[in-house]
Amino acid sequence: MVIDGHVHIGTSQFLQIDTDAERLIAIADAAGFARIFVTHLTALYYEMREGNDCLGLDLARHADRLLGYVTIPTHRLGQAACDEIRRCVERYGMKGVKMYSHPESPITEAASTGILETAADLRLPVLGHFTPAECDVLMQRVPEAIVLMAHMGGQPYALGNWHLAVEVAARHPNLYLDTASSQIDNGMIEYAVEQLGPQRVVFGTDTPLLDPWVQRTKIEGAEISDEAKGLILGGNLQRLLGL
Amino acid sequence: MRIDINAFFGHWPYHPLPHTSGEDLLRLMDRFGIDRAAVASLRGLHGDWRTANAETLALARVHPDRFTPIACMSPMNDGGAGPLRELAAEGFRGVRLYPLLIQGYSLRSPFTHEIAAAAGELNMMVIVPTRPMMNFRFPTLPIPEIDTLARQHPTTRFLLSGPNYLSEFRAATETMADCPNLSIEFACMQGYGAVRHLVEAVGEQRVLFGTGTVLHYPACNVAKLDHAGLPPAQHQAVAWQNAARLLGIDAG
Repeated sequence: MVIDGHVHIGTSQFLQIDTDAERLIAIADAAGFARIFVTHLTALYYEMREGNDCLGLDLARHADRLLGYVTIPTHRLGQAACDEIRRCVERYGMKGVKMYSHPESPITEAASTGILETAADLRLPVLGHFTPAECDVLMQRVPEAIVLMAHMGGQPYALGNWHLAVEVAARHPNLYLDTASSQIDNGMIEYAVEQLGPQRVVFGTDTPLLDPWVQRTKIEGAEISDEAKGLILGGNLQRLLGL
Repeated sequence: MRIDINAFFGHWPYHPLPHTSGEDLLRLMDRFGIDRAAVASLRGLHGDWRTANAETLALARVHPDRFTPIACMSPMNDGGAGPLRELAAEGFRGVRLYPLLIQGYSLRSPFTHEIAAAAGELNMMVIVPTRPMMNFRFPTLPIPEIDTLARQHPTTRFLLSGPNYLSEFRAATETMADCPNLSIEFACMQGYGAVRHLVEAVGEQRVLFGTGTVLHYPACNVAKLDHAGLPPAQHQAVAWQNAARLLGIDAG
C-alpha cells in the first residue's frame, strides 16, 4: 500500500495551489496511492482553526483515502496550538501535526517545545518544514517527539543539504526523513537508506505543488531493495500511524 | 525513442556521485530507456574546459550512436569564437555557458556575445542553465538576462535549462514568448503537470526532454515525460524530435 505522506489541500497564492479533496483523490488514483496524508493551506498560511475544520469535513467524507494533519501555522500560537491539536484529534481523528519554520520565525524558539510535547504525548508524527540544524535542536529538547523532516534538507532554507539531514537523523532515532522535494539528486535515497536504514525514510510528494510521478519514481528507481522501497512507500507510515 | 538533451559524466565537487564515467551514464540510459544523449563532461563547469571537451569528444567517438558531444567554454584559457569553430569542426553540436553561476562573467560580456554570434554562424546550440542542477544550494541566473541575449542574437538557437516551478516557470514562459529562438528543457522543472503546462504555454516544438543525469536520477524525468498526458505527436516532439532537429542529427 503506497501512502503519500505530504499533500496539500486548499488555496495558496504563494504556492499557486487551489485544490479540493476530489482532485487530490483523482491524482492519488492515477498515481497509485492508497492513502494521502493531507495538510490544509488555510491553516498553514492564514488561520489554523478555519483550515483544520475544512480538512475535518473532507476527512469525514473520504475516511478511506485521506489522513489528516493538524496544521499549525506558527509555533508562536503556543498553548492555543496545543489545544488545537487535541481538538482536531478528538473531533476529526487527525493523525499527525504539520508545522512550518521560517528564518524570521524559527521553530527553535522556545514556544515550539510544548507543541512538540503535545504531539509526542498523543503519538502523532510531526511533519516539520524544518532544516536539519533546527531538527537537531528540537530533537534534543523533545527526543520522544516523532518528527518527519519535510524535504530531507531539499528545500531553500536548508540549502538542499540532504547529507546534513541524514547526519542529523543518525543522531536522533525518532527523526525521519520525508522524501518530497524538487531535488532528485542522484544517490540521495540510497545514501539515506545506507546510513539510516529504510525504516527512517518516508515517502511524500508535496502534491499538488510537485509532480507525484517524479516523486514516486525517485524511490522506485533507486538502487535499493524492494523491501526497502516497500517500507519507504508506505510501510513506515503504516507502522507509525498504526494503520 | 528518447534523446536526453541534458546529460553529463564526470565528478562533482560537492558530493560523491554514484555514477561518474561515460560507461556509467550509458548503463543508466539503457536501464531507463534513453536512446541517445547530448553529453558534456562536468570538468567543463569548474576545471579546464579544453580537457573537458577532449574527454567528451573521446566518449562520443566510442559511442557515436549514443552520444552527441556538447562543449563547455568560458573566457578563461582563451575561450572565444576561434576555439568554438574548431569544436564545431570536431563534431560538437552545442556549447554550454555557466556565467554568473560558476564562472564569474556576465551574460552581457563581450565573450558571451562573441560565442552567441559564432554559434549562430556554426549552427550550434547555446545552452544557458539557470542553475547547474536542481539543488537549492545554488543561486539562480536571472532569466531576463537570457531574454536580452536571445533578442540580440535572433538567428542563434538558445536552450534554457534549469528553471523550476512557480515564478521561475512564469519567467521562463514569458521570456520564451518574446524569443522564438529560445527552447527549454525540463530536467529541473518539478511542478505538478510541468511538461503539459510548458507545451500549452510555448508549443511542443520548443520543449525538450532532459534529465540532468548523472547529477540527477534519470528515471524521474522519464516519468515526468511519460505521465505528462501528451498526445503521441506532442510526446514524440518533446521526447526526441526537437532534440534531433536542434542537434542536427538523424535519429529517426
